[in-house]
Formats: sequence, structure tokens, C-alpha cells
Amino acid sequence: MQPLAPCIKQVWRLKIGLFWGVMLLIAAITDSAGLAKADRAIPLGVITGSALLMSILHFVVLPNLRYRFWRYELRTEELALTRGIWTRVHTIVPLRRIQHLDVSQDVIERHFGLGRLIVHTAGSQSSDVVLPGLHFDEAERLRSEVKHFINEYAV
Amino acid sequence: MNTQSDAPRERLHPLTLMLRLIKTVPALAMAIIPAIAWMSESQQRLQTFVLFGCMALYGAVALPLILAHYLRFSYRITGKEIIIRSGVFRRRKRSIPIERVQNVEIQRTLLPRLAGLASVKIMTAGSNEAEGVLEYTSHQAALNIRDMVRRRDEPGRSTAAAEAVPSEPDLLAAMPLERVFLAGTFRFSLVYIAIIFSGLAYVQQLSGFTEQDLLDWIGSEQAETIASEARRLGWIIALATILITCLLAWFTGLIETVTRYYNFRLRRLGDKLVRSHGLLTLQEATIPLKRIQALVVYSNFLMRFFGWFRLELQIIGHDVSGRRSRMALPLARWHELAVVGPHIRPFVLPGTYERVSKLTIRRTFIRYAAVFSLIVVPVAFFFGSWIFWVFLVLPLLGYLAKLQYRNHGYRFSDNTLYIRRGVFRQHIWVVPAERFQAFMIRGTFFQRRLGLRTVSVDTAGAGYLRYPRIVDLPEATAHAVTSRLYAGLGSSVAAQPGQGLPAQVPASPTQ
Repeated sequence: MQPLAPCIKQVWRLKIGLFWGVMLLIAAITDSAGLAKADRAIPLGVITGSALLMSILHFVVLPNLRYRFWRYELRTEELALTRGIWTRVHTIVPLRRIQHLDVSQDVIERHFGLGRLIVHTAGSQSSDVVLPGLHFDEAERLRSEVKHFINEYAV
Repeated sequence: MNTQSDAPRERLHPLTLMLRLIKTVPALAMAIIPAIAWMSESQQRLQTFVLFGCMALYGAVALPLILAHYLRFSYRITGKEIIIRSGVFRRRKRSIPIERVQNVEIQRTLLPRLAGLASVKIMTAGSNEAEGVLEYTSHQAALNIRDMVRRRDEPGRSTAAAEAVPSEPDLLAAMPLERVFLAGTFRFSLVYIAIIFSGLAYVQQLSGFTEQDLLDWIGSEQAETIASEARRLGWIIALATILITCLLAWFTGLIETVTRYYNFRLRRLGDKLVRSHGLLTLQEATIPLKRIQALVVYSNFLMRFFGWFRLELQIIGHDVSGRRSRMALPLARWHELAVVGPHIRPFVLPGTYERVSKLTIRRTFIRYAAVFSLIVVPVAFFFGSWIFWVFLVLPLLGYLAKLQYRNHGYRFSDNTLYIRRGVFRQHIWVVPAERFQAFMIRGTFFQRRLGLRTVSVDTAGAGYLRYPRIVDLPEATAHAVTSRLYAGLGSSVAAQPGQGLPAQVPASPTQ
């Protein structure tokens, strides 16, 4: 099975960075609100400090782990995905069950030339299966291959 | 009703006006009564003023709105489509092609039923909600619409062939009154108790009746004796309260079930199921067989003990959580299920199931014990450590975990997947291979340490909390089972070309 494009790690890192940036700001404000108080329940800097620690951990470790466990493969009749750090999930979507497909790309992904393939089935939990971190051409190629299969099958 | 495009435009039944008016009365009362009740006797003039003010406002706004809504609403049925025009401020014209109509539901609540009216809900493949609602038409008109949709042939069939579809459906199951009562005795509903109590609280607030009034009524001396008696019998009173609540809950559940499933009938008409029931509110729903994705045999431990089961349907596009729309047989014996069920989709419930790994007992026990400790430890923090004695029930939890293991099993035969799971509430899923949508093998951190996996099959219209899955299979077995299931999908789709991709896609002409 194939790994994702390595630069997806940068995309994840950016998104995690944005999230934790906001969180750090909130933590810093909470901490500084207690500056004037003499009897602080939590010593100064603990909230900001722990937030900083969490953010660094997240920032450094999470994208690497996520990337390590993400695999995908388009086989002749099905799309197979494996992902998950804590809970490993292996999904098999038979191509003949696919209702429609999207290729999408947000601002950050566009900067790195990445795209994601979104596969919709009639199912409940798998009603939209997302495959992120593909080079945009690769995403387009996968889409047209799946589309080709569906058209063949329908005839 | 043939293909005349100039079919007459029809309005709803005139009595609709009256019914809508009656429907608004509770809302009006809700608005007026508190306003009056919270004013003291001395504010009599203000009271009258508020009363008349509300009435005038109601007359000036609500009445014209009801009338306008009625006058602006019309429907027209041509041979090809149902056209509904509606809207007072924003006009809307909706046309529903008849061949897209999947289902016509006729509902007759008490008042419309007395007036000889019915409401018609027109469901299509595309959306989960009713695409068109005609509230109310005469009962005959409702039946006409239903019959017209029933007569509608599958695309490609001639109208002559359509006439050949039997108009009298085969009766699959009927519930005699005793059976409905029995079904009710297995219901235990706290919802209605909550409604009754909150209703009482509301009435009490409105009437201004206080505890002091009650004391005055009883007389203070007698109240004193009652209070001291009550203190002496504290535990007994608490128990009695719980008992009475349970009885009430049981009783309301019974009443609710009987009124809903009175005269329950399940019939098959060509490729559709027709389900009708109700004492005060009559309901009739038509369910196309091809919309049914799975069958579920449900039982709780009490039902199972007495040998009773319930059959539910998993229907694509239907409300996932709504149990009402999924019901196929509220209460039946095992052998009755085995007869009726296969009319919906052929299957044979297996006698034995393949078991999952025994390690699941350990995992289940640990999970139970963890949840139990999470409850007990904080309680002990407040009530003292004597509460830790309750950990003596741990062996019981171990036994429960073992029961979970024994009741969990799967079998894949004749291109049908059967999964049984649950002790207190047991579900047996019957999932036809041609309905499989995707396959998932999941392993949490703890599962992977023990070399276990959970296999689940995704189907359309499945619930998010309760769905068919095989928990704690050994990893190699999990992969083997998944590939067997996958092969089953392939062969079932190949065997029935019509059941392939398009069968799952709601067949709308625009696609």
C-alpha cells in the first residue's frame, strides 16, 4: 500500500499550529487575568506552560505518527485505506458502491499542491470516506480511474 | 386519472379550516391562561383587557392566516406528477413526478378521523422527510392518491400490465388484541411519566395551589401525625414511591402500545409492504421492498425469557433513530418470525453462530469493572469507604461478561450475514450481501495488544450507535471473514444484475 505525499505533514503541522496558536492566546489571557490576584489557585504560568508543552508535543509528534500509519491503495475493484494511531481502521470501499466522488483542496493544501479525494457511498458510517494528502494530479488520476470503473460497471 | 395535463386543481377539504382552528386553541390557551392566572383578583379590569386583547390579536392575525393558507394551497394530480402550490407570503410550486414517489403514508388522527378526513404524506427517494403533505383531504381522496401510486408501474411496464398488479394484498401478519396487550406489557416507558409530572407542575403553578393549601385542607394536627408517621416509615414510603412510579411507567407504556398498534396488520402488495395500525390515530405506510436494507430481530431479556421477539426493518432514507417507522412485527414467536420475515427478504435464522475470541470476556470484564469503579469511587469519597463492599459484585460482572461472549456470534451463509449481540437487549441483524456498502476492520490499542479486531459492515440507513459488527475476532479471522463477505457482495451482485449499483442509488430520473 502507498503512503501519502510527505508534505501533508507540513499541512497538518500548519493546521495544528493555527489551532494551538489560538489556544495559547486564550491560555495566556487566562493566566494574565490572574496577575493582579494575590491568592491564585493555580500558580502563574502553569496554564500557558502546559498549553505550550501540549502544543509542542502535538506539533512535533502527531503529524509524524499520523503520516506513518496512513496508507491507501486503489485496487482493481476496491479502494483500501488504513489509518489511525490509537485505533487502527482499515476500510475497504468496493468501487461499485461509490455514488459520487469529489476532489477538493483548501488554501493550505493548495499552497503545497495537495488535494483530497472524497468518496461518497450510500452507507452510514462510510457515507463519505476522505483520502487526504494526495498530490493534486494523483487525486485527479484516482478520481478519473474510479469514475472510469463506475461507468464501465454501469454499462 | 390518466395523462390529462389539465386535471382539475383541488383544494384541501373545507373541514381542514375547522381542524386547523381547533389545533391552535391549545396554543392560545397557553398564552392566555398564565397571563390571567398570575394576576390577582383585584386586577379584574386588567384581566378582561388582556383576555380581549389576546382574542382580538388572535382574530386579526391567526384567523386570516389560516384562511389564506387554505385558499393558497392547491394540488393537482396528473398522470405523471403531483403538483402542489402553497405559501402565503412566498409562493411555492412543487411538482413531484409520480415515478419518483416511493411511499404514500396515510395518517388519520382522532379528530380528522371523526370528520372523515386523512392526511397524506408523499415520500420520495431523495429526501428523508415528506416531499409533499396534504393535510387534510377526504379519506376517499387519500385512498385514490395511494392507489394511483400503487398502480404506477415500474418504469418500462405497460399500463395494461400495471392493472394486473393485485389490488388485494397478501396478509403477512395480523395482531389480535391480546397480542397487542402483551406487546404493551413488555414496554416500560418513563417518558410519559415525565410528561404527566411536568403537566401537573404546570397545572399547580397555574392554579396557584401551594403546599400550605394542602396543609390547611388536611388540618395542621392531622398533618403533624402524618408527617411523623412518614418519618418513621421513611424507607417504606421511598420504596412505595419507586414502585408506584414503575407501575405507572409500565401502565402508560401499555396504553401507548395498545393505542398505537391496535389492529396491526402487515401485508405484502407486489414489491411493497403495507403496514397499518392504530386505535385513535390510524396509520398506513407503504414500504417498497427494495428500500429495506436489513432486518433486525430484537428482544430484551424478559421477552426472550417468555419466547417473544420483535422484527424491525432498516430502511434507507427513513429516520435512523425512529423506532416507529421501522417496526415490522411488534411481538411474535420465533416460528412466526421465520415465516413472515422471509416474505420480506429470504433468510433462515441460524441455529448456531460462530463465536468470537474468548479474550473478549476479559476485555468486557475490564470495561465493566472500570465503569463500575468510576461510579463507586466518587461515591465512596462522599459516603465513606464502607461503600467499597459493593465491589463484591465483581464476580457478577464477570459472569455478565461471559454471557456477553456467549450471546455474541456471527454467521455468513446463503449470502446473508447474521450477527447476534447483546444480553439485556439483544439484536440479531440479518444483512443481505447485496446491501453491503463498505467493510471496516478496526483495532483499538488494547485490541491490537491482544491480536483482536472488530469487523463491521456498513449499510445504508444504519444507526450510529447500534450497527452490525463482530467485536473481538482474532486478527487473521477478521481478515478472512472480511474477504468472505466481500466475495459475497461480488457474487450476489453478479447473480442479480438488477440489484447492483442502481438498486442502491435512489432511482431518480434526474440522475
